[in-house]
Amino acid sequence: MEKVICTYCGKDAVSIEEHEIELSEPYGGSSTVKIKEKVCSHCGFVEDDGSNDLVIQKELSMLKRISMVNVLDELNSMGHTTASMERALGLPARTIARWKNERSMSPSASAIALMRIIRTFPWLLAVADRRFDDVAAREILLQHAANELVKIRAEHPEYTVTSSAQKSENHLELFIKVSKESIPETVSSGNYVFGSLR
Amino acid sequence: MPKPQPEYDIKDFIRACKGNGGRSSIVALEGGVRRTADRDFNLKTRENILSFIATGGLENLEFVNSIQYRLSNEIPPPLCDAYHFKSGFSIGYISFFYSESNKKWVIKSFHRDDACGPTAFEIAFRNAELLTESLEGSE
Repeated sequence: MEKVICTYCGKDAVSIEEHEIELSEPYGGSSTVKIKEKVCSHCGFVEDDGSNDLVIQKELSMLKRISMVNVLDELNSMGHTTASMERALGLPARTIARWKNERSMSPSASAIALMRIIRTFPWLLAVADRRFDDVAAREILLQHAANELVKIRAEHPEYTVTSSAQKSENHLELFIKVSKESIPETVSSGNYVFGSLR
Repeated sequence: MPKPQPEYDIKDFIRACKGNGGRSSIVALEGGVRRTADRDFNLKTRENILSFIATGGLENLEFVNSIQYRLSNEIPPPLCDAYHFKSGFSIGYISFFYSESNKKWVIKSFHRDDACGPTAFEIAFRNAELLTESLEGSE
């Protein structure tokens, strides 16, 4: 058996210690794995063990699979069918179905990244459906931004949302202001402060 | 006393990361480096970290300092070079040393440089040639 030596001091006083770490993937939840560290009792140097990569990659691959299935389930539950997503994104038929259902097949990292972006901003499917047309993309973005502002307003009635856009020949001004309504005491004490400054 | 110049040629370090390729590694990670690399840069394995470095992931490298890394009084302490780097929207900090006795590079730190708030501005100012003095290191 190969003697394990410390990378710092070169002594063979190295022992392997195991401890758990948490791994997580967006939309895939988290899980724990045991990793190894080489600890030198002579100098105290702690080194990550080379075998950890395999353990981590194996677990991550499982979490990525779960993440893909969750993302697709959620998109389906929002009303986006697999066939319509494949069509909008220009993917060969049954590609997404295979990502979801074939346990033997691991979706590529780029496929997972694409579907996470779509899950985060599902309206991008509408942009893709319009062949990424600049004007349509802007309209869809603004429409969804407006929807989000309405939602924020509904969720936080104590805030006032004001927005405006003005355009002249050489000037475009867009502002979105979210402000909390002041309670009368604050206003009067504010007036007092300003009064003292005069 | 920190040295004002790097102890190592960073290209040698980057080349070592490139040559890793799953074989017996000549670049090791100190305990805790993988955790901070995952937390701050979404680099979850040693292979991810070394590939990132090897493919030019450390952008706008700025030397911070070169200081002695002492764990034991018996061993002559190696010099540890530290750099700031930029990646996407983040400013990072990396420090590493070369272990002569084992012929291995060791990455000692790899994390986002939260302690160094103004760095993004400092880098921008320096790039604009409006700031020339060297940055003090952080760990």
